[in-house]
Amino acid sequence: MQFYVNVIVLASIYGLLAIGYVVIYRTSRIINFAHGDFMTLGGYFLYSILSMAWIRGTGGLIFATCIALFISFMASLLIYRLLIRSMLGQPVFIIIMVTIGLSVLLRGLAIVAWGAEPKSLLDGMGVGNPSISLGKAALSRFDLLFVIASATALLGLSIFYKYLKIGIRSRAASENPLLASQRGINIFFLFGFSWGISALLASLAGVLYGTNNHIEPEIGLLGLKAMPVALVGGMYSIQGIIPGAIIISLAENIVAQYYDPLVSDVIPMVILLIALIIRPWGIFGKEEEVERV
Amino acid sequence: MKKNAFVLLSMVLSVVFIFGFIFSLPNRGEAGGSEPYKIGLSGAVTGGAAGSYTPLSDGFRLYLAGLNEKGGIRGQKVEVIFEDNAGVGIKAGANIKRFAGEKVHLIVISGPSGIYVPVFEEAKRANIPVIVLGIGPHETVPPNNEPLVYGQVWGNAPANAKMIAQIMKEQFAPKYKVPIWGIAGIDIPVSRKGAEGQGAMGEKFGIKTMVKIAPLGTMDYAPIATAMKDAQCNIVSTWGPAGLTLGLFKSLQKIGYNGTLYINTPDPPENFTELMKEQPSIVYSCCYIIPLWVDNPISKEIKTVAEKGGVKPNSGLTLGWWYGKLVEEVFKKVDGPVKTEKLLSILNKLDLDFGGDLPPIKFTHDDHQGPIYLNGWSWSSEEKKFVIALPWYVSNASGTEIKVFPKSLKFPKVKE
Repeated sequence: MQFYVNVIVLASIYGLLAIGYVVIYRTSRIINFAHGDFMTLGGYFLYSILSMAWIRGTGGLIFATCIALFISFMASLLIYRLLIRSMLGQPVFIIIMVTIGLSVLLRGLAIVAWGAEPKSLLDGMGVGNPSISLGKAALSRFDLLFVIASATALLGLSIFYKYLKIGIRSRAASENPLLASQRGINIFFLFGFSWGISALLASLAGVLYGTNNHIEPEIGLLGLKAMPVALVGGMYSIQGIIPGAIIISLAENIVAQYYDPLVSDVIPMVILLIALIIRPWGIFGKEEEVERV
Repeated sequence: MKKNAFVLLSMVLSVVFIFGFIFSLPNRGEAGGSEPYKIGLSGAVTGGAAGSYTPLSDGFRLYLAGLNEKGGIRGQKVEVIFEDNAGVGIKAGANIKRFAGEKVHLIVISGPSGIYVPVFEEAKRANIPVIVLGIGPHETVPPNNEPLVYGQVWGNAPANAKMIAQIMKEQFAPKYKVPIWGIAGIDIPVSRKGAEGQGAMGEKFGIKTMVKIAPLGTMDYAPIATAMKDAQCNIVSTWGPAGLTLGLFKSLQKIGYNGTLYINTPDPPENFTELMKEQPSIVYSCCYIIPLWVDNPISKEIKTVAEKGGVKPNSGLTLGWWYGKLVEEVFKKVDGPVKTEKLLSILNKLDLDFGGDLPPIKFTHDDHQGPIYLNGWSWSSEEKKFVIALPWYVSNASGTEIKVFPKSLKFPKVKE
């Protein structure tokens, strides 16, 4: 029973992170290698806000989280405006290289700004992270919040892309940016917006991970492990994240718990390779997507 | 004929010039009267292991900066040339090359075990003694002394594993009918060897063990925690960086584990204070880091100097501070120009006692590590402070002799 709970919790972590890859890719066809580092930044923004002595208790934590997410959203818009927007129209390879450089830069800045030692977010906050019993299994309060946040984000974005005007425009901008802009769609706004949403979700993952465990500059590596989830599910598909996350989490947990944790580390990449050989467009992706790329 | 004579004369003059140039170079290790003592410090202050190692370098630099402010050693300053190795072997090796070019007298290193081989190779090439700050490789401590490498380090697997196995047997195992000891490590050489060595030692002491090694950068410890709980482990310890301990212990906590948790780590206790307050049954041990909550003159001085120097007070500073004192004592004993042979002869019979406030240091020709000290701390909910939870365990470097001393704030003096 505990095993299945572990699978669901890890799938939720991967799912919440993978959404960000899909959101940016759906709009601008860019794979953002710095995505995991926005997770790190979200955790550190919250840490800095919580360092203020007057923020205490659950209310204080919620307030601080909102501020941290807002800062992450704005920071990502700024990064998009300064770095990515001027690169649009360049070959995808160059933009991907820029995001790799951005990742290294953000990680370095995090070390300079907050130090490299692990930090506990709930230290002295008066907010606990009690264990919630589910019969023979248990999970923590923030594990449960991870599951809820991931499910809500998946549902919310599915509705966003299917029914909201801005979501439909995002899809149009992705499929044919030239035609979309000729039809009066502000594609730069949509690209920026997708960067903001993506960073916001990554930061939420950082906040939840940090409150559940701790934060350190390296937690952004989780973002890289979540990338195969998006690719296995289909880079264009929000729904594809669910099977992608469950498959990878299940395989990783089986290997880590019953065989050797060391081998579990390569499992996401092994599954990704298998998926790329068998179905390169992903479980919910379309063949034409791969051809177009 | 004339042409040949000219060529011959040119060759002779060239050889004379080259030799003259070489011999005119100042010898490393022969600093003149007012020349500073030069130390090359290669520390991991960036990269994945920076959390563990930054305070070590900071403490060392803070101590020597204070020493220089007071006038140095017999009026001579101590110059510390610092380079970040990011915990990467190739960078650390390059640091040593630079130090050799700068003609340092002594090299001090702080970083994960991956940096040791390139550092030792380069140091050997340049013939400069190396002092390892804090965490040392098993291969370089007794009985396999590297001639140029010294350090009273944490990672002496045989002695460390034996001491901890003895602590398990005497302090924790009696609480359980069938004690089962789960040990977790990270897939880096020092942690992996430490955890596996500890597992083997536990079995020798009659305790059933389960060893799990997690990949570097693991963020989800739930599968390892579940495997340990399923195997009915009632004592769990870690052998590795803070992230491992925090991740595993929090995962164990959330799945309802209620056995003994033991932290044996080179990481400063500040990383675990929240966890220890939440779970007062946790016991924290470290050979050489003195928690800053210990009320002694050195802790007070370190806190004051750190705040003045803009460094966040952290118990890891104590280790660097302690080795700053070691370096001071070594250079104090140098009479005349500093030469490698002279430094080695001093290091080979170094015997320092800090009045019980810091661990005594004793190196010999055959023992470049000296005695290892271990006690333990836990949070007292009643007293609302950290209290001593274990007596002192003191081992010789080879782990053949372990003595137990009563609980005390002061480091016990071991009589031979």
